[in-house]
Amino acid sequence: MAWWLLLGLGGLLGGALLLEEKVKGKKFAVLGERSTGKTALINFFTKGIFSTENTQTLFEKKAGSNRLELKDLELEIEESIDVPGSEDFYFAWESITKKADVVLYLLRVDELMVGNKQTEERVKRDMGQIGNWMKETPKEFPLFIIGTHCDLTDPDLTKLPKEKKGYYEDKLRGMSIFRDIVLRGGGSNKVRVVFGSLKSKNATEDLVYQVIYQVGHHDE
Amino acid sequence: MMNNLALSFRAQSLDNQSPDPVVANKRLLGKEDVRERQELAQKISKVSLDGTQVFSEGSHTASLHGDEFLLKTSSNQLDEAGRIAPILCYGCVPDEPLDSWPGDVVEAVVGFAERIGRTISEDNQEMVRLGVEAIISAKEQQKRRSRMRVILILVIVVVVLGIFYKIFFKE
Repeated sequence: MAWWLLLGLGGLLGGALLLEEKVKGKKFAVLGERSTGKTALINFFTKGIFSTENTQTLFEKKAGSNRLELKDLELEIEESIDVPGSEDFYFAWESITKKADVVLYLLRVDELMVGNKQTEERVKRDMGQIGNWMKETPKEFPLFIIGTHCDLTDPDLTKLPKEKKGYYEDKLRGMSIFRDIVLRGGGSNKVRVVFGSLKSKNATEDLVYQVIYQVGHHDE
Repeated sequence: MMNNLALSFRAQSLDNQSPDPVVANKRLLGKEDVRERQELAQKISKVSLDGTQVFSEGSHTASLHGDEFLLKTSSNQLDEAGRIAPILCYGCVPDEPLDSWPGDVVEAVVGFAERIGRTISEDNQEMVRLGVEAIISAKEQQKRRSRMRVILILVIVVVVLGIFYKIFFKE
């Protein structure tokens, strides 16, 4: 499943002002293979709660609006649509990608790290499609690859100290699969890769904050 | 006599990696049947986004959009991530559904589940039946509203014609 949302401007605190201004009104298309954690993410955005996914998502769904307080940010979620992760729903992916200002693509890092070929092939197909749709769109916008399930990797990336985490993340970015999909998505100028987990509320907050921060600083 | 059941079905694979099981025109589609798979996905999207939800009970829902309906129920099996694995049934409501239609739809949903190696509990089968009954009831309301609109338009036309007649033909 994937989803789509519009971020508005909420209340602000100090240095968060610039960041919130930069993400204000941006439309996010969130895409990804089945079972990558997208429902947990959309629940976090639209309900402001952490939840573990308990049902597969089989069809497109509208999700409600919400004001989300995240660390020093307040984000207004104005609209969102969930789309399933199956390739049969590429038409829906294409539609929301072409209307987006930012594309977030979720994938399972744990599966790629153990060399799951099915996941590799699927991720390549997805990124090829997304890259093509973005080329067909006149405006330029960033694509974020969000590696989830980092709590299931060996070592558990979410438990590593900051400097070691950075080392492993760089190692992941250097894997041929990541280099390949970054290329398919439009190259390193357009594509950013972030890693995290949706296992707990704190982990979800960290990941979302990291993404929002990078969206705000993408052009710098 | 049974209503002509032109139903399609869709589920997500339990390993979340294999092609999703889909039945259209009574045929279990393969991975290569891309066009048929996407056509059904588009029909499902239209009902889910533009339709009206007429029944909701736990993870069971029923939606209606014009003549098209979408039912969601749950199988007894969980996917590899431990999540509920729903089954979707898409179709068109017959003009005059027979009394047996809800039972026929339940039977068809159970048949699809068995075809893909899953089962649906008695309770969930009952939910499907209630969902179909809600669809029939909503469809009847639609028809009544539609008939009322026609009657209203006819009344307005007659009144307007009467006024014209009075103004232009009667001194």
